Amino acid sequence: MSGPDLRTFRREIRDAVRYERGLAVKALLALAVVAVVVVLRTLYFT
Amino acid sequence: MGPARPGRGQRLTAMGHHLLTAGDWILILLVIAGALPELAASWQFLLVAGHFRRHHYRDCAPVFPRTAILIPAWNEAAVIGASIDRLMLLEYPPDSLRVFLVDDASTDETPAVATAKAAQYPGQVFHLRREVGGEGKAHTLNHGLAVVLADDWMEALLITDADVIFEAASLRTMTRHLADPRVGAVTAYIKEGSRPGNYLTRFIGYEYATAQAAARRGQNVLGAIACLAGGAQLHTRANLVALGGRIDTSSLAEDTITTIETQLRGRRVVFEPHATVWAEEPGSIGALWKQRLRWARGNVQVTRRYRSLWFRPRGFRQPGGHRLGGFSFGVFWFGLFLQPVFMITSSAALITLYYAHFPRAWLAFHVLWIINAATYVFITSYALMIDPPTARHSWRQAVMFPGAVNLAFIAYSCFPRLFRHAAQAEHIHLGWGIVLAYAWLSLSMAAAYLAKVLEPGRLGRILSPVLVYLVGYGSLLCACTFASYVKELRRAEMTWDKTEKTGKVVIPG
Repeated sequence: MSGPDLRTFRREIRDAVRYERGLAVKALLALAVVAVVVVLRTLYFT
Repeated sequence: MGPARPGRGQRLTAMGHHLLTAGDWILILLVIAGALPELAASWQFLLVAGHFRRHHYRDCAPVFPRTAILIPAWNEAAVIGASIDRLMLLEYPPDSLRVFLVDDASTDETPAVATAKAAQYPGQVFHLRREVGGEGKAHTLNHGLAVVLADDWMEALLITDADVIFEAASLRTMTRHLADPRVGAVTAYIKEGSRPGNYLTRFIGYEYATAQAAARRGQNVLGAIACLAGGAQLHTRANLVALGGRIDTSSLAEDTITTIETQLRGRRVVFEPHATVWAEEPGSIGALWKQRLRWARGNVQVTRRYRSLWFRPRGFRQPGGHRLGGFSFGVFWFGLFLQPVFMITSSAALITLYYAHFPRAWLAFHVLWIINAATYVFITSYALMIDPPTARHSWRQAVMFPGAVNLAFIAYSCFPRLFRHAAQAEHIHLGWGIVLAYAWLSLSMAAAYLAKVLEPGRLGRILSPVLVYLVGYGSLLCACTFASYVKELRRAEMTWDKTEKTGKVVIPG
């Protein structure tokens, strides 16, 4: 099987960058989980 | 009239008090330094969030250089046939792909399988035989390198392992980075592919999500890659020639040395997270121990060899510069390399504080574990989100990565009121229980070693997994790292302990 055409290549690059952008949002989500733990600890368990 | 001057005895008492207080604070800092490796890992994970801006995709193009695939093999009959068949299914122009199997004097059916595959794929699969072998992977690779560099057909070289199964699109997603002439090498995301696998391969699967899918994205953002994966590293011909046309054979970390030397010569190394390959990883602690001891000893050798490199940023803004001497990269490297040292120092400082000033020991213990809790929650939740398929397969091992005991410390530090009886320990003296808790960071490595020792026995099959879940897979890796210090200090012989492969890899889906 030969390689993809230019259109396929561009789509794959676009998808890859979109996935990486999604990881930035997921990092915020993970930090939010940490923040929830810290807030719970501070408010209710000190 | 001013206040009366204190007497000499009072001054000495005050000075002694200050010294004791300063000593306490130094000990508290040493305790909290136990969390430095996790903080360094968290910083690396935070960098992943920047990968959507600092990536190499803008410089990619659909290029298909003539690629030679080099597979070193010693007694790999169980896996090599399937691996070659998968390589023949790569989405890559067939006339630009050649596979060279370097048979390192195998004594099993590997030569017969290789000959059969060469006949099945004429002009695409080549069998190279070393009559005298056993010198290790680097020597075997050099035998093949000499052949592929002898003519000018090869434009790029993919080094892989006999058990590695490539997804169809993986090679072309790697070669697209070679459109940028600044790139010297590209590495892929190696995933643990044993199916059904066991608890240990699932731990490894999650570990690879953190160490590759996450950490290497962070290193992409930083512009400095620590290591090309041994099972999937693509080099340009120019890079190989610049490296002298051969792989370093003087250490157990030939992949890391190749990676560092590539970057020192001003070429970029890129991690392509969307090029996925699958490998069979050790299913027993004994086999894992051999593999990781080799890797860890290699890291000791690399740390020593490049001692003039660490924390000395220079030249990365100039053409041909590199970022290996940067502060962040040094912190990542030494965070992992010195993790056992941090753990032992932290335990020792805690126990000293316990006997010197119990309340401060308790405070330091809390701060240490609250930091550990925050980094654990962040790293685990983010790693699972970075690679959802691995999360579905290994989420239990991700949760249990630090071990049940450490998780108990984390839970107690975060939510002490949930443990009312234990919470009373803040005010009472529990003696040996507290000492054991304070020493746990060190003891966990010893307990992990015990899991390795017990494994071959009849009871070990049950006890060893229980111990790993109890003390943590992370502690097992730290015990390997500690053992590597000892081996290197004793200048133990460097032997190439091959990981046995049985052909259990299945590409999910």
